Amino acid sequence: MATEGESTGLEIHPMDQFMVKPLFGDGPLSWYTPTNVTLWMALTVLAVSALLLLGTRKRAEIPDKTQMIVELLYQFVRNMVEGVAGKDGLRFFPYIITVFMFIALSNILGLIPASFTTTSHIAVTATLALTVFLTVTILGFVKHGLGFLGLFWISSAPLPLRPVLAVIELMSYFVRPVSHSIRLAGNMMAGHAMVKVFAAFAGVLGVGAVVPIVAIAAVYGLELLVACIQAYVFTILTCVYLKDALHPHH
Amino acid sequence: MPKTNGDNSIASIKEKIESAKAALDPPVPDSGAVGQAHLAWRMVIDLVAGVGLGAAIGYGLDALFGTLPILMAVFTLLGLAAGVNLMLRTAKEVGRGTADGNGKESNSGN
Repeated sequence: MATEGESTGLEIHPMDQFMVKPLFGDGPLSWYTPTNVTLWMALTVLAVSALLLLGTRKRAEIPDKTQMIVELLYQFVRNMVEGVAGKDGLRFFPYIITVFMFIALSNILGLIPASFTTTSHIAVTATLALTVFLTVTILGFVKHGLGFLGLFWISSAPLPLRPVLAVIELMSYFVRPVSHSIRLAGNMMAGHAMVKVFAAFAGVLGVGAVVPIVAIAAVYGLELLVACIQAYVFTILTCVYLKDALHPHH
Repeated sequence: MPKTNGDNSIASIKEKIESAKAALDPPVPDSGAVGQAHLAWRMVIDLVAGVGLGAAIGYGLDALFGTLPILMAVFTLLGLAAGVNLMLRTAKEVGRGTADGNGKESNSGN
């Protein structure tokens, strides 16, 4: 790959930014190797803690700016959980706001130039989605026992159709975690790769680089929006799945 | 701000809060427009993931039983149906308004 492009200078490696590298040396990767993923996940957790804990440290009657932001986020997620999953979904509010804050901040931290977007990896988002999937499934069975399987048995359909519909419903149930994880990782990866491609154009165009740079600025704005929207979408779908587990008779 | 007019300052703070809330309102329609886009994406990705998952399950079962093309075809179609099913459910949620988190969760039938 290095043989061509050296002369022209046009080298587009949009996917290089997603490479998992060890932080120290370049030995082989094991599960315990501290990598850039580890680093940025830790930074995300630190950022979430800093925002939520330090922001509300004063517990002021009249909030300052940071506390205002935290209170808005809290209220936003709480309304979402209550509105979608109902009052009994509020028991899961701590979990859901954790997921929301983690995804939102790792998306936003990933927008810092030269940083690493942990949520652009299916491995990360699939873990998040599987956790939600397992939580919701186990909750459904604990709460409703085998009656939870009624979720797949459409009693309003004619009897001969029901087994077919049950298979389709069952597959839909398993499609959800797949699309849940692909959506987040895909959105994150696509936008970042696009920025990189534009950046590579900017490197070779000389004065004409103004065009890709303006495009990068525009895409960056869009990416900021997408980062927030995707965190919101992931969270609201978690609430929807939670609702299905709490009230399976949809 | 002097301490003497305590009532007054609280009132003015309330006013400030209201105006700040009003200032926060405008982004909502904007994110609403993007919200529609994310719904479209959700439907498309559900559909594709459905077909993909169906094909994968079918291929796995085929490899298990040695009936290569049959189950894969069947499960791909089932996956498509599952994807359409999820799409329709999303559309229904949009109709009810629960997809945007402000619905009343009416649970009307079905």
